[in-house]
Amino acid sequence: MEKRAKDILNELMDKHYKEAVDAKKNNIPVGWVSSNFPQEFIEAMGLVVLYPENQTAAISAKHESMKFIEEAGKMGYSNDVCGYARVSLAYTKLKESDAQNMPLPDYILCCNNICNQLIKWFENIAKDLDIPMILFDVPYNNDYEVTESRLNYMKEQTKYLVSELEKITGKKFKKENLERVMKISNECGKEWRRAQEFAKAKPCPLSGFEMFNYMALMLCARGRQETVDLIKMLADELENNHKAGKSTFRGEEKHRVLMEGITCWPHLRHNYKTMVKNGINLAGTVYTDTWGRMYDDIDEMLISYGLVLDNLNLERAIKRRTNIVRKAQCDGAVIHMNRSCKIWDGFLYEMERRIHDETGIPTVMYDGDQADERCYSEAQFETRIQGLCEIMEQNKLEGVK
Amino acid sequence: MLSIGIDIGSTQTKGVILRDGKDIVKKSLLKVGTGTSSSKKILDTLLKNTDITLDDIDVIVSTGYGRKTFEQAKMQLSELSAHSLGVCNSIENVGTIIDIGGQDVKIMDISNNKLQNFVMNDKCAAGTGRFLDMMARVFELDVSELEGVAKKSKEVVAISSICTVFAESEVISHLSNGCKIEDICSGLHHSVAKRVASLSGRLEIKDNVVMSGGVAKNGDVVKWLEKELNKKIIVPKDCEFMGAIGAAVYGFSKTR
Amino acid sequence: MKEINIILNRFSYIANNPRKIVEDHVAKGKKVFGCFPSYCPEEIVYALNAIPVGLWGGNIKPFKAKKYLPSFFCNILQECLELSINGTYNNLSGVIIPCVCDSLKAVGQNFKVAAPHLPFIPLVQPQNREMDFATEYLKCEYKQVTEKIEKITGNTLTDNKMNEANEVYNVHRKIMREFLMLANEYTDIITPLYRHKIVKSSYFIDKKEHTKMVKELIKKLKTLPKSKPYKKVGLLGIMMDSDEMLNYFDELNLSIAFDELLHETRQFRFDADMIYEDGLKNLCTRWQKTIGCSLLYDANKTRIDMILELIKDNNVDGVVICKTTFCDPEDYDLPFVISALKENGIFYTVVEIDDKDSIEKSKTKLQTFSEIIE
Repeated sequence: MEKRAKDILNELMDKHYKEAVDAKKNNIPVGWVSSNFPQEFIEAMGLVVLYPENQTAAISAKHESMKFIEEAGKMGYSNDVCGYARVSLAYTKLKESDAQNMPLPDYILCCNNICNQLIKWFENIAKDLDIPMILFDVPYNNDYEVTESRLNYMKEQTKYLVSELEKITGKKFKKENLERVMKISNECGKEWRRAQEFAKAKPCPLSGFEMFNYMALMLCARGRQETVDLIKMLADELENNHKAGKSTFRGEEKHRVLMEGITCWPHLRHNYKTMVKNGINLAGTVYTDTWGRMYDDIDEMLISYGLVLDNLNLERAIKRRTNIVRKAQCDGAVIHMNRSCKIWDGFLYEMERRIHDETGIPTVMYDGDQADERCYSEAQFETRIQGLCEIMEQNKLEGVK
Repeated sequence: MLSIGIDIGSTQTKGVILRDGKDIVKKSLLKVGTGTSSSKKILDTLLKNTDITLDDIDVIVSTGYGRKTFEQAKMQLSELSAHSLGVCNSIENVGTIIDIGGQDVKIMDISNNKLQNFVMNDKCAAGTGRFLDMMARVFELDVSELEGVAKKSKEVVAISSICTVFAESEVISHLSNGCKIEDICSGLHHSVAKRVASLSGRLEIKDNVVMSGGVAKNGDVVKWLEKELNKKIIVPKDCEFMGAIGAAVYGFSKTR
Repeated sequence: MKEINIILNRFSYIANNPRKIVEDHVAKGKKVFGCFPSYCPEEIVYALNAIPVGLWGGNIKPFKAKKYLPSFFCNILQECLELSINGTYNNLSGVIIPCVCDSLKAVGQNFKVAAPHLPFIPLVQPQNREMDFATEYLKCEYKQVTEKIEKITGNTLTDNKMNEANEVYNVHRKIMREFLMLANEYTDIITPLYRHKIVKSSYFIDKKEHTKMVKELIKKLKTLPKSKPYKKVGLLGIMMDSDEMLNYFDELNLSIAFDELLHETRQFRFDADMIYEDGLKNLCTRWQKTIGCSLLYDANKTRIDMILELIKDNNVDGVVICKTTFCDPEDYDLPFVISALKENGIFYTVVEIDDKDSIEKSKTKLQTFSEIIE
């Protein structure tokens, strides 16, 4: 049987983790990196790195997070600390996971463009394991755009980053390698955007939840040709499905919604089943939309890292959502009040009001967490989704848009 | 010499009369806590049907959440110190005391019969007596019946929610999915034990663990907690009176 | 003794009546700017002939703020937002909101929408503090703050004025450090509550005026006999602003030998170097030097060593960790703080001050703590 994108996806992810295990065996330093770090520099230097956010998401999705969360509690971490951080910090102690093992780091690279909790999380790992840490500091944007002073600050940091990395890893940085990786990463972003475009088509050629699967690879290997090839394959598959009027979504796509927030991994299955039962497909997800990064030069690349989802001011954050709602023709929005993610939740109430006001679609918010399964109620989710459905149906009857 | 210890908790008021800081002359328990009429009633109840009058009492010491509002008390003591004194008065070589009260969980570290250190739960009600009270209401049971029900369990249902509201909805959905009450009940006890055990990371649990407080009477919770901590737990006969006894012991030692 | 009480009561009056104090400033024709926690460049406001006041919430139950913030945001910021919405801050000509934690980022964005009547002056300090290029960036941020305040006040910033303000603040911080050391020896007079009020009052009046008052207090104190030593404790955390709790320390005969609270000592630790003609650049050096704070990136966790040093220097009987619920930067440090305390055999307790219930529980903990160290 011919291999499909999802088969290759698993192979590439396995390869990614195996590389790190092999490196560790051969005394090559392995780094841990935050998800939205400017990976171009890392890839250009040929460093072996892993992404703890991928691991914690995998552990959470495979229902293994509670083991680590309980351990984190014993380590003295409050339940109010981010669930990913608790899983990850406990992993550095327990060092054993059925869902996803990975070697401990020899250095750690943090970019706070997604949040400042990440600084503390990584700081604690660095202190616990007594390893060097580099922070790539991306200031929050109170303005709509990234200010010139911010761009300059980031540019100066790239020099510092490269020289520190050379010291830690013994590898040399070459500009031509960076240019090559930038080109590939761009290509990757382009194909991802293409896949996302089809994912937004009406009717969707796939179940929106499937796009979550590819995020792990976009996160850790978007600077590699094999990823470009895979995402292109995915986009082609979606295009073909779209042209043939086929979809992997089970049943009739009665409603199309925007999924706001980080995935509620521990209850993803329940989320999915409840939505399918109600004929709801995810036509737009804010979370997956972030990986279509394209740029022409280093400045634009850095700006794109400055404009990561949770680094946006309110106005720009709302615009991202309303754009998706319009493009993906969403009939409603399902919003995750994710107990872990303060930066995302911080203006979520206002965002909900504005999405509703500006697009007219009904919205519903549910409680959950990206890693801690205890913050979710099946009954609450079902009731709210049902309520949303009833409004969406009524809107259709009345022809409201 | 007679001393009285009064423990005014959040949901119950306990009192004891102690002779020479050792023997219990009388004990009483009222099912109302601080902020109610209980503080006045408890003395009357204690003295009722005895030939002791208030004039015979050498000292009254209060403890518990409402300790500062008890006017007749000559001294007051924190409930942590009181529980430690009470337990050490009746059991030898205590290493750790775990007290699950109405709204607090406390773990106390004891050496040489003295309180050395302690931790308490955070704000959340999960793992406290109140949590079990609320859940008993869902089953339309009295909290004292939970143990008997849970003992019949053959296939424990896991309860994962941390928040009481969510836990309640989780219990209801298990009930409507046809799970047996006894299995859910034991699952709830397990979840309480897990919450309490999670505190143990902040304070080492030594051997000779003693459990005090009303929840200690629930053998199923004790069983789960033994499992979670991997330690044998001793439950003293008058477990819910340990605070009151400790207060009376304290009064005796300070007045003697 | 009587004279010193007059001085102490003056401090308490200011700390207890910030709204009235701000009204007085405004009545005298001064513009007043609010500063959210923490590390706002108050000096810039001062240099532009306006009064900066610290906003750290107030004894109020958030209601209108709940429209914007989920319940798991710290009380301090919930209250600050509430007071911004409900008109309490209407006498302010603008509010500076920094971004030293995630909650502050979100609070700033909500503030724009929830309190449009108050000019929003945002600021994001760099976390990679010690590099020169970070200072360049910080200076640009300070310039933006300056421009916004210039526009509102109609005044123009010069290097001279900026350096004068830097100097006023350096002098104030120095006198506060001296006072906090001295207070340790006069715990009979400088009770935990007074100690706190003296520090808190500095947030609401002209720092020159405050310096004068503290100097006078120090002079008077030095003429008095030193106190008999009580049990001595140190306070760790963000803030301890509950009169009820502070009085309870006193009731239990616990005196505060040091604090490393963000609201108190962390504000006074580092001065601006006066090495450049450029006043803003001098101000930047203060941020460059700041360490030992949970809100600021430090992979070495220097804060832990600093805490241990404070404990040693002050020879305390134990420490009280004042936990601000939902303060993630502090929550991440807590396991390290606690294990350092344990390793060094230092007795501690953790108290949380959020509402009436938590105060009662904290009092129980503090009492037990005092019963154990007795």
